[in-house]
Amino acid sequence: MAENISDPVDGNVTDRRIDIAASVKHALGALPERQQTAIILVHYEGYSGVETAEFLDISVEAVESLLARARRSLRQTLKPQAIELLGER
Amino acid sequence: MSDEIKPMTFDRFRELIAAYGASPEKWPDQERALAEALIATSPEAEEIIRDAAALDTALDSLPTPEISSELREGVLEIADGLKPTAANENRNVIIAIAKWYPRSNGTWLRAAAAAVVFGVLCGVGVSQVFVPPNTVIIAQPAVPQIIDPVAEQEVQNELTSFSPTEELSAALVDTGLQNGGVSEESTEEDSEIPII
Repeated sequence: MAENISDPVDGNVTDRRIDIAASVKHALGALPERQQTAIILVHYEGYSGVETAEFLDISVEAVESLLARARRSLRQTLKPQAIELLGER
Repeated sequence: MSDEIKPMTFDRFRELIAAYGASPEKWPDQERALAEALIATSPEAEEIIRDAAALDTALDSLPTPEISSELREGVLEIADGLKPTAANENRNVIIAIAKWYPRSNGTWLRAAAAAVVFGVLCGVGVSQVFVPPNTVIIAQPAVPQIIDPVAEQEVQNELTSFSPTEELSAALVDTGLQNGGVSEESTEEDSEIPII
């Protein structure tokens, strides 16, 4: 009879990834809205800096500044999770 | 917006990675090759990339569809349709409104009403062009608002007495929609809309 027992190790990894995703979502939500918009447009939606600048009606340099500030905040918040994820690779 | 290509100094490389992360496909096209060349010759640049990759990996743990905030549902789904394509004439209209809105003292209602007028002038349906309030966040992320039937009715009511301000008229001229941007194939419906 085939057993249907989940692998406790894989299960833990999956649970941990869900936790990390929740942390990322929370960290993104805590960003100022324009930083959040810039990160989502560039990182998740794949828009270029030029396109994002057009959407936000700001310069490319200003977009890069928003992105850098957003990533700096996210990095501080998510550093433990990021290190953990890299360790799983 | 600047088209200037900056030299790939180490400082510029840091700026690039700080903004766009470790994935070369996210870097500006004109700087990608220069940045990759720097990585190939600089252990310090490699270290910067590794550091940025850690954050990228953490961010990637959240699939895009799970960012289902008002921001994503409203602004970004519409923005996703604004990719510059020959078939997407709405893009310029929406962007024009987005650029106009933050300089105005009006409400999103005025912007939405303006969008409808723009849409009809462009010969597209109201439902295709109607700009829900979240769309305005593209230009001015403020308090997200949720569109509802009452608000939509308010827009319709607003349209009946819609009288464009000088500012909106100027925006129309800026976009070329007032002069030359409108199809000569006007329909009878067009004549019912207040032409600015």
